[in-house]
Amino acid sequence: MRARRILALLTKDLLHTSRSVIIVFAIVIPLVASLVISLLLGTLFADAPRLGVVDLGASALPGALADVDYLSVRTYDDAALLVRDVEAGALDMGIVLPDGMDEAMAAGHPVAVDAYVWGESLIRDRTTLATALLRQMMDLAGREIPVMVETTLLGEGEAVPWAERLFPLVVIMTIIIGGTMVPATSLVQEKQGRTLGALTITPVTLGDVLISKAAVGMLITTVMGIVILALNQAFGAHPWLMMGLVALSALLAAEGGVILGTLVHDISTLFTVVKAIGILLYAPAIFYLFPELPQWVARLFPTYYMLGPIVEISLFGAGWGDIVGDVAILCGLIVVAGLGAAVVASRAAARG
Amino acid sequence: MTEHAIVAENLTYRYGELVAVDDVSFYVKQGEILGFLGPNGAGKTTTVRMLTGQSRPHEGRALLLGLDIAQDTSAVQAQIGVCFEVTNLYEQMSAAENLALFAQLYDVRNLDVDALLRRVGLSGRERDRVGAYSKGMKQRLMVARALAHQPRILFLDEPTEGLDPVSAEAIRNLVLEERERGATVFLTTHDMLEAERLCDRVAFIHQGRIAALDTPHSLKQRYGTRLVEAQVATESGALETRQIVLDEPETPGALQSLFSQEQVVTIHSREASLEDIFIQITGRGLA
Repeated sequence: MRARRILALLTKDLLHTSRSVIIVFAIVIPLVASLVISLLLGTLFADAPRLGVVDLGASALPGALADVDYLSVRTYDDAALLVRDVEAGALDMGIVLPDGMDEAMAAGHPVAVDAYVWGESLIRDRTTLATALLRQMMDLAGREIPVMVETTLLGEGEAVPWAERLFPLVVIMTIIIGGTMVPATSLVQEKQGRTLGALTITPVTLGDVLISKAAVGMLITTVMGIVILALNQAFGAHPWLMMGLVALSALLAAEGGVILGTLVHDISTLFTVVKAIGILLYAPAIFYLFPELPQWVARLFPTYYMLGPIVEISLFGAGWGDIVGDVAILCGLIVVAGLGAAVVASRAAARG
Repeated sequence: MTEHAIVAENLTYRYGELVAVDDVSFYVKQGEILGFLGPNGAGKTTTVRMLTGQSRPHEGRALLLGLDIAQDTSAVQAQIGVCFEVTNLYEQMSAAENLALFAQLYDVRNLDVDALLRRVGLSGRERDRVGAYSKGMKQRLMVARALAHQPRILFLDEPTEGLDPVSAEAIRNLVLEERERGATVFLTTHDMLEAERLCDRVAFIHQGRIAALDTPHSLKQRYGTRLVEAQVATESGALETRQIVLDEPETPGALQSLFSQEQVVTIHSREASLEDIFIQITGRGLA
């Protein structure tokens, strides 16, 4: 019965309040921001990562790399030409394979490879290229081999491209607008329209209403988060893990939205509060925007744990082992926020 | 099955230092319409909030259909319908969508929305957005919403306040139909004529306390004064009013002298209204 009532409220919110400005914002703003960044910085519909190869011997590696369908591989005869193209941004990465490399690998000897990286290339492209390169080398050698990659950064660009600096901002906007603002606004509108009183005079409890609001926020945020990750080709190597992280972040944001919506009584106050605490909500994205800032400070903000694991996987190729600590903190915050929402709701219910 | 649909026992509610409802006790029988009358701030709405589970009494308790509303809130709320004084509909939704939503919340299957809207005179407007409705239409829709699950107790808070005569009459007729169905009705109103016409009993609430509770007829018998009011023409041709109290030993003589010594233009009897009685009991009006 209770689940059916919550579902009825959730359906009502999705179908009948979909014209609300904040829901339109929750859908449109991340999409527009993502598209604008992609169009301005040219990352939309980007080609496969571009690799240039100079083979000083007769390695089978260039052929193996050319067969990898998610790479664009070009071979060069002259290392100087390769370096020139990397500097000009025609390649994301160029590698020079030493003479006798295959034999050295087969014998299990260490192999040294010179790699030139274009400074403005996307970090995810660099990660993809490096991963593909090592995998193909291992396949050729038939075992784990010690490879030393000497990397040289070329070109005018910064080490972290702007498209990737701005990506965390788009992600946190998606989470905060959809996850926090949608439930908070919807709840405050129910109060202002006095419909909350009409609902809680039925067998529906205030808790049911809050759960339905949180579910709407979580649903919209999860869907939009997945869309944004897809648009930015930012799922990394762990798409299911990413979807799980988006859902967890959406849940924490929705709990925050429910607490905010329960405490605040009118829309003006809600927007004033959000403006006042906005810098705290978006701070972690600002630290990603300016990598020269001390990055550890970002971890002091709870919203870092919504954003950090997603960004680490999508931009920096992190795996589960790298983010497990942050995810544990995220889960802890979800429990604390859930308890906080329950306390706030029971006090509100007692006040009537 | 309990004979009383509503039992209020020593209900008390405070807003800080202010005692809004002060040790109020009463009952409402099954199938009865009780009018709850009082001026603004008398404690009517606070009492309704306690009876419907929106506020917990600071002292005392309320039993509805034998259940304590504070303990079995959801079970009681499933059997009551509440029509609020202030509009609280989903204005971006249509009337049909509003009713369908609340039917789902009450777990009512197969609600005949058209029939319900026909009952309240909103047939043909069921697909219109409620935001485009007039105040009277919204009020009728709120009554329809309160009736969607055929509640055993109906709380109506000023249901005809500020409505045009047609809408007000439609709602009064619905209240009477609900009593015919067997529902108990708790009606708060300022409208004394409405209370007299609809209510089996009325309670006067004043400064958080019940000042009187009885049938309108009994209250009039007990507190009211019956009068004969006559307009007489003076020698100058002006009209003056004469009032003679009935039920007094000197009444026959006074009437006789009125007709023999004065030129009576009009004459009629006048019974005390509930408002007169309210003023007499509480020392102030209902406004």
